[in-house]
Amino acid sequence: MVTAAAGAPSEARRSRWRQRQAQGILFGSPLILGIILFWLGPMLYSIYLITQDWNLISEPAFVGLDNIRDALNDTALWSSLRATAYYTFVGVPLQLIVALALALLLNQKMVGRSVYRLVFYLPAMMPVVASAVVFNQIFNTEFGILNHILGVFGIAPVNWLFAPHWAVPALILMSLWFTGPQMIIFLAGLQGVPKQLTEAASIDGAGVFQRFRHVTVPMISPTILFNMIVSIIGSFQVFAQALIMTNGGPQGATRFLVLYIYQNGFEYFKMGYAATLSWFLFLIVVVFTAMQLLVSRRWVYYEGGW
Amino acid sequence: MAVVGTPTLRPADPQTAGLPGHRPHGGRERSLRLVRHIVLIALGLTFALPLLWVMSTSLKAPGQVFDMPIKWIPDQPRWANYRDVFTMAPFWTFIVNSVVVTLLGTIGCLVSATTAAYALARLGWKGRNVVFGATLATMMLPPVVTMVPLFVMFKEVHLIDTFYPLWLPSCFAPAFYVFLLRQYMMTIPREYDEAAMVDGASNFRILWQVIVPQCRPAIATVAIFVSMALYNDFMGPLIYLSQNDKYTVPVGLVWFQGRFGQYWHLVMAATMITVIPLLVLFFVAQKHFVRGISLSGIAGR
Amino acid sequence: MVNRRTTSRRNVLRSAGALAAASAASACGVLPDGTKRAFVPDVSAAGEIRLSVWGDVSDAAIYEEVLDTWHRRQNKYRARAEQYTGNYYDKVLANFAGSIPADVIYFQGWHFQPYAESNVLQPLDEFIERDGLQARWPKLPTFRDYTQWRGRTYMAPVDGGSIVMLYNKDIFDERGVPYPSPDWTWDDFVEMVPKLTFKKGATKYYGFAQAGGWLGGYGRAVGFMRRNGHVEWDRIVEPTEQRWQHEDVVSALQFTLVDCLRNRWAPGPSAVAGGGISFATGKVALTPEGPWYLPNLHGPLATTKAGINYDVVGLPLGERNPVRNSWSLVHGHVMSAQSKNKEAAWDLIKFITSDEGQEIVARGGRMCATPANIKNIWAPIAGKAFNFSHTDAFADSQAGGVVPMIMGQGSPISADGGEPLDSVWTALELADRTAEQILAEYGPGVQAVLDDYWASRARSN
Repeated sequence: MVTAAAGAPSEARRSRWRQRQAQGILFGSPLILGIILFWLGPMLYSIYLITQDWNLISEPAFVGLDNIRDALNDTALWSSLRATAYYTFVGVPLQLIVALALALLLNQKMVGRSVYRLVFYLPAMMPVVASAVVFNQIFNTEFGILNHILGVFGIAPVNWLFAPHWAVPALILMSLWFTGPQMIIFLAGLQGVPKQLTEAASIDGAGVFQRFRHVTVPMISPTILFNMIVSIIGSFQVFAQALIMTNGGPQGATRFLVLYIYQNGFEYFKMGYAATLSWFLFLIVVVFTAMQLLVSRRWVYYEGGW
Repeated sequence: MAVVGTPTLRPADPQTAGLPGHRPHGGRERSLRLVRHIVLIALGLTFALPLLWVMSTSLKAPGQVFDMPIKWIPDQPRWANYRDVFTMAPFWTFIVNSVVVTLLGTIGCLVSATTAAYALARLGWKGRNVVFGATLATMMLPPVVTMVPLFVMFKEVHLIDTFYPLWLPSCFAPAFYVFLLRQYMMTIPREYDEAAMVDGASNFRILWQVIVPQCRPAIATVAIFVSMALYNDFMGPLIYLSQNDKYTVPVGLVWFQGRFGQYWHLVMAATMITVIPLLVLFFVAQKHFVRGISLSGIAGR
Repeated sequence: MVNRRTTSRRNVLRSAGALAAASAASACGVLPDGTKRAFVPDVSAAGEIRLSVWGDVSDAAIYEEVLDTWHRRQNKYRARAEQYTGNYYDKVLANFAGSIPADVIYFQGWHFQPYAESNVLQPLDEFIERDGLQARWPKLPTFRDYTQWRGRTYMAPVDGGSIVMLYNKDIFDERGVPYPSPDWTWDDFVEMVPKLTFKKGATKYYGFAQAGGWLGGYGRAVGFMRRNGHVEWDRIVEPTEQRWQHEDVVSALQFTLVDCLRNRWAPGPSAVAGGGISFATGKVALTPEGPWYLPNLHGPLATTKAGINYDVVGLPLGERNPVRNSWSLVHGHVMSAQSKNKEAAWDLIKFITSDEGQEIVARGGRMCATPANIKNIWAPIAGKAFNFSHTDAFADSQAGGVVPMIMGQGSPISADGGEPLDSVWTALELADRTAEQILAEYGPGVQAVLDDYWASRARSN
């Protein structure tokens, strides 16, 4: 936006520039308004809440930085962070592997391809409440289908949702059913791999696995990155299953961070503390996403060059 | 770092790019394909298991629900369960409510997100990059941070216990869809724009008569995603709606389960009723789904 | 180019048409089969008050009839019911936060205190005085704890329950064990449970079962823990000290949880949660439950078609000091301080607590709250409706009942989440350590929660 020439041409340029500015803001107004109304404003308000002790029904009371100090000393917070980390850093790699495997299997013209795609996407489409109810039954130690099937293979019934060391693995296992959306994105990414490359590689003598490692993976590395970032952000916020199926139990094994925030706000009547913890969560999300983006420069290949 | 071939532009035909070319139909190929099908069927059954269990239980009589070993197809399917759900609960009202909220929100989202994406993709204005960055940032913000402030905000304007908090936010260009549409719009060659500008078209006309028709796949994708999100939204109606006759389907399902929870066969029938519109939507719109995502470039750029 | 334009225009028209149709349908407010229900009103009258209803099956029916009858009895006021399921209290909290609470709100007697403390509930003392209805608030310690807070009355007792022991007569007959008598002791109980556990063909029958989870479990275990008179807190309302390591507490939990689960005299929590094994399905000989459980055993809502052949008896007495100490629950209605029509709200509360209202409650399957009403109104109805004879067991338990614990706002123990007692319970249900070890481990945590609570009260006062 530089106006170098003096005189009449610069007048016209400036008014064109003003007009472009106005048009840009006009077209962008729903977005700008939305960001202010639904993000910026509430974020500022929730920062204000950090300094308050508020139970939602009477007036807020100022407590300064006490909420932050309490958070740093809160053992329940640290154990919820551990549970969330366990769920995320074990779950997400598994989810990505499953999603990629499914996408690779489907990446062919074949009979019934759209049926398979629908079937794999199906569980992700069900409302979360419905899935929680259904999986609660599936994981039931004595009556659930899962233990029934394990029994066919001679495996003793696993105390899925009632034993502290099986609860999070159960939820991780459950999350693998919802990899449909990630699979679809991988499929889209795979379809962006030009067949000239794979053909050239196989002409050069590369086997299936070598083609995969050296051609396919780099070409879909932006997709992998996207899925990884989105899945990690999503897993950090696991909530509904933990609330409905185990309510944070057994013995706090599934009290993930968002559930703990929710309990503090809506069950213990501590909105200020809940706001503090949710900012904690936000910072963690930002830090991890930034880390991933930084590290990504070393392994992600962009064809268009960014 | 890796074997890399010659850089190429966007593949011309996304449906076949990346697929292995034709190979001779040798015996080895056939058995590989067979193995692939077996694996797919096994995986398909595994993924379908929860829904199959729901379907099966929804047709059973009360006493049969917990019989072991599981009888997948009950002897006498009790289709009356479905009728019972509709007579025992105002499920029809829930469905109508959901449709209203979903339609209003989807249309609002399409209009606003397309407009905003155009502003970010095509128009040059100061602050554009800041707004784009802010858009991306909001996608990372955990919803729980803004949950209470938003509730307080809607309470101040007396919109609690109405539908507005459920679909109004969608009319303000939600970040994810703006991002998707912007990415897609940036892949449309500018020649069309320039031709229209030469003809003297305003930005508005360029958007609606040049860009939008070419964005149909992405718009279809956005429409599908946002209607699914609105239909499935649970926390929103839970927080904002009090009266039973305003409930949408997900809350209605929980209400039904809370009220008739011991009747598993009915709860499962209600669950099926909840899920069927989504199944239909996906089957019909599958093609748009996948094509929309791949062409939007979200995966590749 | 032309094709695309008309197609998108057609799409726009199509969606507009669908939108119009949907709006028209929703504007009608009537179900396609033309019925109207108390829960789907088509017109909201001015001056109408709102009543919030708990999420169980029976509650919807009860309050539909309550409102119908009340509307017929008087012309001045109108009310509309809203039933919250899922997490009832989340909805209540959200409504208070949104300044749109219902006018008359159903509460369990240990849940309303944080709201009373925040001054969003209307004290009822003046109304009670004015209309001379003191008799409806029995002068028993349990009722005082459940309906008052800091000396003022907030809740009107409407329904309640007390925990008694249900026993399956068929299983007792099968095993040749005599039915428990009203003065049976803890030792009798411990002795008979293993005898009542057996396998007949492919079906396993259990001597004992107890609802899982912390609040249900704790409330039902209170009668066992306090059987000799020891209380696990230093006081009931806002305790300062936890006393869970006492031998009575330990032995009660050791037997009913650890031993029973270890020896498979009781079904595991997942079997209970799965719904297949319970007293209501005829697989359990003894279970501590309240009157809300009775509809599952006989009548149109029974879990099994034939119903269960059962009766009830009070919980076993202590072996050293026979004090009857069963969990007595009182639920009722409070009035919101922000109600715009408090007279209407009070009139509704008056009706629900009147004999006529209480009878509707009793017929709907909920037990009346006050011992007098239990004896006079509920017992005859329930005995016949649910096919059992010892109705006095409930009245006695309610009169002599105890409150587990009540705390004001901010304490996690007072919330249904119940940390760390929640973890105590899941550890006990896992049954891989003794109750003594578990309680010793978690004792300091429980005390810490109490200490934090008092520290924060000190800060805010």
